[in-house]
Amino acid sequence: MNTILECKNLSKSFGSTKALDGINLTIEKGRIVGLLGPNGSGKTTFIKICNELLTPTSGEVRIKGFNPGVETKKIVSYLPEKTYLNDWMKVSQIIRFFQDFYADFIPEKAYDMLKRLNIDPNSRLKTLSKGTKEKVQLILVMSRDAQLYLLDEPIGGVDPAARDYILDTIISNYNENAAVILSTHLIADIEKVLDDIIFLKEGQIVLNKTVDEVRDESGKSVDALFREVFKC
Amino acid sequence: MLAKLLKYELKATARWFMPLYAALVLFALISRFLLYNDPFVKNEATGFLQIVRILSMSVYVFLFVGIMVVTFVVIIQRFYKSLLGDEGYLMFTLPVQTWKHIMSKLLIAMLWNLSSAVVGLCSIMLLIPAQDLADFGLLFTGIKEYFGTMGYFTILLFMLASLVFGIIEMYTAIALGHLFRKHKLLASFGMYIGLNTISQMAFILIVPFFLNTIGSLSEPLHITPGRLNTLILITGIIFAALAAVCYIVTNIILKRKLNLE
Amino acid sequence: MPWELKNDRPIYAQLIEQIELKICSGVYTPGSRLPSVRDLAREASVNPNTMQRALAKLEEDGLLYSTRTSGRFVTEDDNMIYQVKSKLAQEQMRDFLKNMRQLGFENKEILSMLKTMLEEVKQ
Repeated sequence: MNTILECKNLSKSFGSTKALDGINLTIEKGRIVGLLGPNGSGKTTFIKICNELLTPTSGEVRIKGFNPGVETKKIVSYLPEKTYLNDWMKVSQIIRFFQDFYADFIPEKAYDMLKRLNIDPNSRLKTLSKGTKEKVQLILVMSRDAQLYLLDEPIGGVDPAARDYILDTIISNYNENAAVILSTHLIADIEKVLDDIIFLKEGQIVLNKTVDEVRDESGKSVDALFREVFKC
Repeated sequence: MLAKLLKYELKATARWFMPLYAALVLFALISRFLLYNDPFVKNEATGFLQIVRILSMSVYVFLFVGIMVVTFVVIIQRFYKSLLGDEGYLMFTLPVQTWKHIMSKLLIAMLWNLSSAVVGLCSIMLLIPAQDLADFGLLFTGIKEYFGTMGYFTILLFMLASLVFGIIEMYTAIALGHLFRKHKLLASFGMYIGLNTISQMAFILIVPFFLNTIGSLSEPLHITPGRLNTLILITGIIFAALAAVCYIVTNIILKRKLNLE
Repeated sequence: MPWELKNDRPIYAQLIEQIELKICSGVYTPGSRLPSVRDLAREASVNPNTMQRALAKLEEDGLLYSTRTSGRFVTEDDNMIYQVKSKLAQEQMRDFLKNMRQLGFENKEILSMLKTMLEEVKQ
């Protein structure tokens, strides 16, 4: 099966606010997809639904044929915007934690990346700076041999050097049997790394093309087109 | 997976209790030594000795009460912070069914509750010499007289059921409070009061129903160990049933109505 | 030689040009082995699929060839490389002439200015 994620008429409302409105989407393996839109466009809502952190109001999402649940969590690796690390563990302990719960976790990969970033596995999570915690989270997520990676604003509050490292990790981690969905509003930096881009505006998909299609057809970068489409 | 959750839950909480337990036992022993040791009693109590005694006992009492408070706080905090705070992003994306998360927190909460009670009791027995504790024996003879040997079982089951209910009731209150967009803490508190009220109503409605087994209002009360045990058992079952309802409600909320910030 | 990718043109096309340039200028010598798709993608900070497409096109054109086990290599066909060099040169010249004409210069002027510049550069 080539399809990793399939989304049919997905809608999510919070009270009277419609965060997602009839999303239809198919994502095949081997693709790196950018979910692009301004804040509040529904990107995080979509990703949370894929992780069973929110339940749809109507419509459905299927990941490798399953609705979000225990079976999908085994094959989906999620990097939220927030720092979700607890404060009592050491880095080595959270690696052990991931190893315990995720069969596809590769500890050697994690330790390798920690070494390259000069993060001491014996340090307590509590003592790490915000930027370092984010790097640890990224390492944990990318050390899994998952079939779908969901990265919510991975380069958001990070310095340019770290940004480069994150993009480099995404490229070098590339697996033609897996798909990557990353959401961001910082497009210029990541455009070249994406296969497909999806513009999400007020809960609806307004564009779904490859990066080169956009550049070919509009003569602009995705970033420039984005600024046009989402002009305030 | 449940075993793994239990392992980590234990690791996360033990760091609070072990030092406190150790300190409690230590000060029980110190106080015992200062208060009951013959050389100290026989000699004139100097002002300095009195102060040390009072200090030692104060620390002991402080620790004793402290352990009760910490047990309570840790139980709530582990549920609230670990599942509904930022850490929730980590926990709820694990490939684990929701009910196992609740169960792991519940079991470890029960564990610490029971061990705090045991450690507290042991510290008292360490503090107070055996002869002065004889009064406690009356408690047990009392139980035997009114409830028979069955009494130990039924009372134990009753206490267990009420413990489980007491803990899960707090979880349900927190989960219900989570449904509100604003003032979640206040809502949780309100829900807790609400749940208490509902459970009390359940007792008021159900127990008189079964009191008939003991005797109707017209006849004089015929209290036998058998009937008392039945009463205790029924109360325990009610607690267990309420606990089950709370568990199911909590599970539904966490599974379908989760909305982490 | 760093990868220079502009924003407004398809990445795929630019990657083809950049690799052609690297072959012509000797960064990738004839017969030499190319880094893996993944490594090239990392170097250029681009999507591996896009890099793969570009390499596949260059293989189709004959500038690269791949063996089943050992990876991708630059052709040893000097003629082919020269043809690509010429093509790139033609493009450069066309752009140059267009720009010069935009500035208002005529062909004769352009030729003499070019001769003078070449003399200067020699020194």
